[in-house]
Amino acid sequence: MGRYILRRTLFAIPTLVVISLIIFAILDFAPGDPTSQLPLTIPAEIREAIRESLGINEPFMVKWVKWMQLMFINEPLQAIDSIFGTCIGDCESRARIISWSSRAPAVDIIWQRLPQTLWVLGIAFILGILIAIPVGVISAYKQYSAFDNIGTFVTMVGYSVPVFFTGLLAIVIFSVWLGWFPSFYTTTHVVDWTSWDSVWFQVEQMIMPIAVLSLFNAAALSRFTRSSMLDNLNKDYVRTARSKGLRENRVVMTHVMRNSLIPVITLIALQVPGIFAGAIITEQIFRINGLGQLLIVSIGQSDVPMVQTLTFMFAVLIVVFNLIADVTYGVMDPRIRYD
Amino acid sequence: MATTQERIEEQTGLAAPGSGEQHRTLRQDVWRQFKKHKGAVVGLVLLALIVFATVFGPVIYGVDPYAVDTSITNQAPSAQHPLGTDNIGRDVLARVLVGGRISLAVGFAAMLVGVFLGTAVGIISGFFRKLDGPLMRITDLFLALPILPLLLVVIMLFRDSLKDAFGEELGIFLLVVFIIGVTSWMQTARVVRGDVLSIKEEEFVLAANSIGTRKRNVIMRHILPNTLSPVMVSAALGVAVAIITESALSFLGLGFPASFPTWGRLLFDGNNYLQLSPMRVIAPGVLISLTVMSVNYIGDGLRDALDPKLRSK
Repeated sequence: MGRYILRRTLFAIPTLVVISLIIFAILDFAPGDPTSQLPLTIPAEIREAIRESLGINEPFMVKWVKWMQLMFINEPLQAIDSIFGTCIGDCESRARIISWSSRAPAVDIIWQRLPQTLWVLGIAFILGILIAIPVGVISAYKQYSAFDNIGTFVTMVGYSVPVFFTGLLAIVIFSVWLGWFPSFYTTTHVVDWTSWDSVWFQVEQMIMPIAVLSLFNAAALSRFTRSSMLDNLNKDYVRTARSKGLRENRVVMTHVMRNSLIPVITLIALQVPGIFAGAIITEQIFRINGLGQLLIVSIGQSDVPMVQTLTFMFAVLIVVFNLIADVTYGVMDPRIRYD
Repeated sequence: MATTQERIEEQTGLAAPGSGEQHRTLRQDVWRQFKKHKGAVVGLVLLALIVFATVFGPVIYGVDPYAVDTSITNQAPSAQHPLGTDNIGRDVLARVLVGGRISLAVGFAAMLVGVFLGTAVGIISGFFRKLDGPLMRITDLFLALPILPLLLVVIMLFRDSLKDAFGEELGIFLLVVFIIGVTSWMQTARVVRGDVLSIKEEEFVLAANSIGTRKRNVIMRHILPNTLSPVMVSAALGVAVAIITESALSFLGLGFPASFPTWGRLLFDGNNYLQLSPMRVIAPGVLISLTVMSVNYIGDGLRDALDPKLRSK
């Protein structure tokens, strides 16, 4: 088992390096100039000096290696220092990835935006799982029943209707027509846990984005759960379990569920990065100033370091959760390990 | 009450001798199974209707989608303008119909690019053992790329240079189709590779090899036709993914320009007029959803119909 995990982990590192090269190359070779947003009255030589100070004129490989050093060494060290209050090396004057537009370290800005994204995404993700698995299991067990037919249709709708449309529709219905919830998210609101009104305000503004996102997450997951259950329900071992007189509850809950949920758990792990991508759109609809919105704004400002850092973090998420999916699959299904 | 003969046919999936239906081709068999999937049939009809409406609708409806009339801005639906008008008095229905042409064109074109790439990579890596490792590593790498952020970045960065090269509309069309296609081939490649690996070991391939058929012909005549079922299913799903991606990009303001109404762009523009004229959001949104849903249902139906295990039931 240890060797299996080690092999998978070692494989993730070259993947990340190549991805960082791709992301870096796309942004570097693209036309676009951070000084284009500056006033036209700035003379050409000063413009050139600004470019020089941002390090734009260096050769590609030099820039990439420098950036790799910042991304893989300096930023993790900084994170360790700020968490544990330590000081490794020259912690006072450590080079950081600096955003071109706000002149602050990119990771610090991301750190500020993270809670908004995580709150909404995290709850939507967990809620999605809690809805999807029971629906999928019951749908499969009572195949072609009314519950299954309705459930399959609803999940198909949830799976097909894009998030930006369900989001806008929710705003039209619940904010514009019924006036139940606010149509946008007030991120400056600090939740005061002693005041009911303050907590309720937060809940109210979170309901719609969470509902929209969790519907989408639940749809794909419950379709998958249903088909995975159906695959297993007709297997021989299920007949054996029934014929030796086990109670139906036991057969379905322990024998069938256990085997069916292995691929489902892998899918859940694989969905995590996709959810962050979904956040880009949800945050745009409900005006949440999280990571997705930060990415869109930074792209608009040609803030290359910010976009590189954010995109690379998305890539890290994907690779890490692929790794988690592989390892959990290996833990739960021993046949995979000897592949 | 079913007759014995009918029951036999039902159970074996074979026509009993003398039933008048002596022989069915694979295509008929697939079609017969496809028709049993109600959702797929409804989806097919719906998709045909939507395609018809967007291709011929603007001609039949005959209202200029670009005609500005500031005396009738933000009107509610009426007999004259069935879906109302937008903030500069353009007819919403006409715009939605025209917008569908581009959305559907992007969907089908990007699907073709993706399916072509996926099938090619899948067949090459399944057939040539030496290329298998490197190609599958590349596939894994593409699967690990953060697609949506990268799409946004690429469009933002390359939009202007393509605009200069091909003109505003063709440039962005080519860019969107190309990048959606290039980032959506991986699943197809994996499935096709798996199929090719097993087909390669079949006896008819051995037979073809032993009579000296050239490799190219073995692939084109014997392997490619047998991988068609996963390819068709992923083609159906590919259209859905491409339409959603295009509208998501347009919705984020990084797709087609304002002068070029796609469904996603119409949603993006209507976003700020939600309270005034909700139809501007609902109409394109419903059409995107219906199209994607019917394509998904067709994909489901195809998967069932092309699965020999299910078909024989």
